[in-house]
Amino acid sequence: MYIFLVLVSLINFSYPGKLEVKDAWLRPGGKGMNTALYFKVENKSDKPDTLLSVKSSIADVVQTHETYKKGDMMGMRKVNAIAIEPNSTFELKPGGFHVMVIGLKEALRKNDSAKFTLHFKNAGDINVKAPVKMEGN
Amino acid sequence: MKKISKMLLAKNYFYVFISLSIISIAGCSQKPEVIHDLSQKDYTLINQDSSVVRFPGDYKGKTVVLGFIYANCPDICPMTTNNIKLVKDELDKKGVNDVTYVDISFDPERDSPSVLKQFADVRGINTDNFHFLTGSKDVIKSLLKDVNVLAIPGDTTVIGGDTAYYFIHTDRISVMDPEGKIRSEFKGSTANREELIKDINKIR
Repeated sequence: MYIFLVLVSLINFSYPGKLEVKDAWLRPGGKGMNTALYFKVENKSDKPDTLLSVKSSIADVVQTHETYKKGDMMGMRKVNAIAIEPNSTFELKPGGFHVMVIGLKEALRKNDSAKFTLHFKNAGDINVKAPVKMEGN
Repeated sequence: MKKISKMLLAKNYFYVFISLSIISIAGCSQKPEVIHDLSQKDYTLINQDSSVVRFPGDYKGKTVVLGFIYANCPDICPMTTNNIKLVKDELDKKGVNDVTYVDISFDPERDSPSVLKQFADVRGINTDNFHFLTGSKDVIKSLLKDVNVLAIPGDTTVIGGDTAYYFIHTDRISVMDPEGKIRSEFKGSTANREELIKDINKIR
């Protein structure tokens, strides 16, 4: 039973064997400020899926965004959905696609965690608990 | 006779090898060229504790690792700040104490000292030797122009009737020598920290 619970906590969500969200984490952020959530989506099925939205009670607004490069400059823009190809893993990662968490209701520090609900077109809702951390720490 | 020629040839090769080694070593330890000279500039800024900072004058005698950020940025600017923090951690471990670390905000309208203090605090950054600077809009604009950093308000999100804006901006970490001359520049979010430390060591 203990091992089962540990395994469940490590995987932290699932769409029975078809779509898994792994390695979720988010950056620290001050109260009223923004932060970013990152994770991997592993699609084990032969059908595509789409991440349509993300919700969380920790912030006023949660959106999917992408960081983009324009010459030597970097910017960020909202994206309406993220396509997950069949039999592939899509990673939301620093400097790329991320979930923008806008207007934190409370500060998030290292070792805190936050819950999110990811809504996929086919897999439906997947709940994720993400720890707060920084790269290299 | 042949033996003497061979010896002379070997001797010449030896001298060439030594000369090239000396040039190579000198090249490696040489300070990089000046990119932006701020040594005669005097910007009045304010730090995370609301104390006035004369930049770069107050840092004279220290090498400064300098990042450009805005606190509402969720992705690129935290990566830049984290890179500076990791470089600081590495140099602190080695006992390096003639380097100071600074983030300058290019969003002075929103990045008040308290916002910057919180930005540092939630990241566990000790601000004794890692300073977060802001200032008046005009002073920041002038400083950014002098170091060729661009920050243009762009994409927006409407939150509860208010419009939040994000910047498209230069992604930069610079290294300024103890005289106030910027001699090295890296892409801030993806800087190679080993190369950055090499340049810091050449410049300090």
